[in-house]
Amino acid sequence: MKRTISVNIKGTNFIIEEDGYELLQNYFNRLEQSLINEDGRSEIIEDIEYRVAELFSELLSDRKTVIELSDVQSIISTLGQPEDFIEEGENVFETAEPVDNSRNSRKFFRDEENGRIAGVCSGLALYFGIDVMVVRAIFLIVFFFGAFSVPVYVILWIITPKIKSNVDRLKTQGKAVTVDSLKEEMEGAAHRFKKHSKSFAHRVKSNDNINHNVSRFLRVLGTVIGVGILIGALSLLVPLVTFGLLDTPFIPAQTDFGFLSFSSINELFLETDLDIFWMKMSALVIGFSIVSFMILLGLRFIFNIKNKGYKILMSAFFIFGIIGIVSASVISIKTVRNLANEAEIEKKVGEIDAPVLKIYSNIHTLNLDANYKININDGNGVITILDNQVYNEGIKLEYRLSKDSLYHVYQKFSANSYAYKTAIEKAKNIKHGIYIENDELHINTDYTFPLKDKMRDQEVAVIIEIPKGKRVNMQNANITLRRDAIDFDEDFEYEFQSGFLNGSGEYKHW
Amino acid sequence: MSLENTQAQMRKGILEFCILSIIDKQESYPSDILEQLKAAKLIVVEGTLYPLLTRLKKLELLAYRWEESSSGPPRKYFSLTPTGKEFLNNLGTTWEELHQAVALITSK
Repeated sequence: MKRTISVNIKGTNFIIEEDGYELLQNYFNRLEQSLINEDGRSEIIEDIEYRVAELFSELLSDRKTVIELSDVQSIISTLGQPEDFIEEGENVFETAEPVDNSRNSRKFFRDEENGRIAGVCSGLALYFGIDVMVVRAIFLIVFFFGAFSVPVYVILWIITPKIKSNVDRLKTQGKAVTVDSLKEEMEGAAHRFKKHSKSFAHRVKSNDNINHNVSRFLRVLGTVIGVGILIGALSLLVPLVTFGLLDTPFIPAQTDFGFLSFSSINELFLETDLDIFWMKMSALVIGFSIVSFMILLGLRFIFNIKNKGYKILMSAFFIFGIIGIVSASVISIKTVRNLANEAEIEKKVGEIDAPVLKIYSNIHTLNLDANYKININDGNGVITILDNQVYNEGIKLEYRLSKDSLYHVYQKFSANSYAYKTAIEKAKNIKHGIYIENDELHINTDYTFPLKDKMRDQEVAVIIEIPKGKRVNMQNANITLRRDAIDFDEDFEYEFQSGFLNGSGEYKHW
Repeated sequence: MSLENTQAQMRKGILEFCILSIIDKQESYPSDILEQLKAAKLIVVEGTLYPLLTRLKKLELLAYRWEESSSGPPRKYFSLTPTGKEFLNNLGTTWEELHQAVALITSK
């Protein structure tokens, strides 16, 4: 006694034995998987359904009204196994093998045939009946967040035997070793072989044993390169997140005192808050695009990915990267334009009537509370940022001839901007301490300007007009104005002289 | 390479030519074609035919129309398109050439 079910195939109703129906259903499922890369898949299946309906109709008569299991079997053998008549296109039959969940006598083997390194992941995938990609992904994740999976892999590699026969493969899957399941496995193996022979490595592999090793080497090499790229991506990701996203200071502004973050560097140079925002966004977009691109590339090497979505994703990150670079360039160009116009303003400090002008330097130290300091290595000293003020060091001294018998002292401030007018504003914002006491000139070695003015080449010079025949004394150096040797004119032309007072108060005459 | 494999390869090459020839003689539906191919021992399993028919149709060598059947489901009757006829003529020429070439080489 058997149960039957009524099935409608292309408009005709048939009464089929339940097990026959299951066999037929299974046949069409396999057909569909075999045809997965065929263009006219649904049409082919439909045509075959019509053929099945026709063959069923031919079988039925007044005396026979039910399609039996044996009928279905004979029709399937007439039609042929999908894997027998579909030869073109990639065949994914083996990944869709029905997985038997019975755990009886399940045994774990390495699957070198489908493996990438030694087949540990493939074997585990077979054992658990899940996709090998999932196992590899788990291994990679574990690998990155705790390198212990490498020894685990090696240990499993050493202690587990590899699949030597199809019987072993079935044992790994926990399938009963029967003639049918072996046959199925053989068919699966034939398709794996066909599929693999399409790739270069496997074409080489089929030649001889040496080439087998070469192809294995290439596969391992691909995986190693892929993992290398992934590690590279990760090592970029860490600074990107900490310095880019979390804004952790990392540029050694000055040893001992502090560090600059990416944002604070931007804040120092970029004109508006919008520029700062865009610069940061651009940098993050560039950074994350590169990292994502590298991750995808690494995964490609490891898993041999080839699909449309992957390509679209790669292109998308490439385009993002380009957009980031373009927008960063635009902001950079805009910022450079802010240095286009220089303005100078002069301010009188006072006059001194003395036989010799003595100059002293005042060294300011504001170390401890500074937000950060930037060491400028050309000897100009240190830039310190404190309470939205920039403290810069290094004062230029310029000497020229006085028109009378007095020493005249001026301060000269200069700054750059995109327009002359704004450059003057920035020059006016510079503050520099200088004073005359007991006919002696005291000069601070540093000067300040507001952080909102940005780094726009703000400089301070002290101009000293020296009366004819007199001299300036500074740190045991005597500065006199010599008459220009080649000038025989009645109006005396004196050589222009200058020097530089650095942050630590040392004077250097040029 | 086994004998069976070589035989299968040889058959496969001329299968399209034969299918087109059958349809050229008379408008046919798959079962007709299968009957003739099986009689000539050109195919072993029926499933081989369907992907080929779909492919030939995609190449616009074949066209079809539906016809109701008294004894079963409706039938797809295939016929050659003008391109299909030309294609078949070219295949015919090639076949003649091959036939002669093989005869020449295998004759002692």
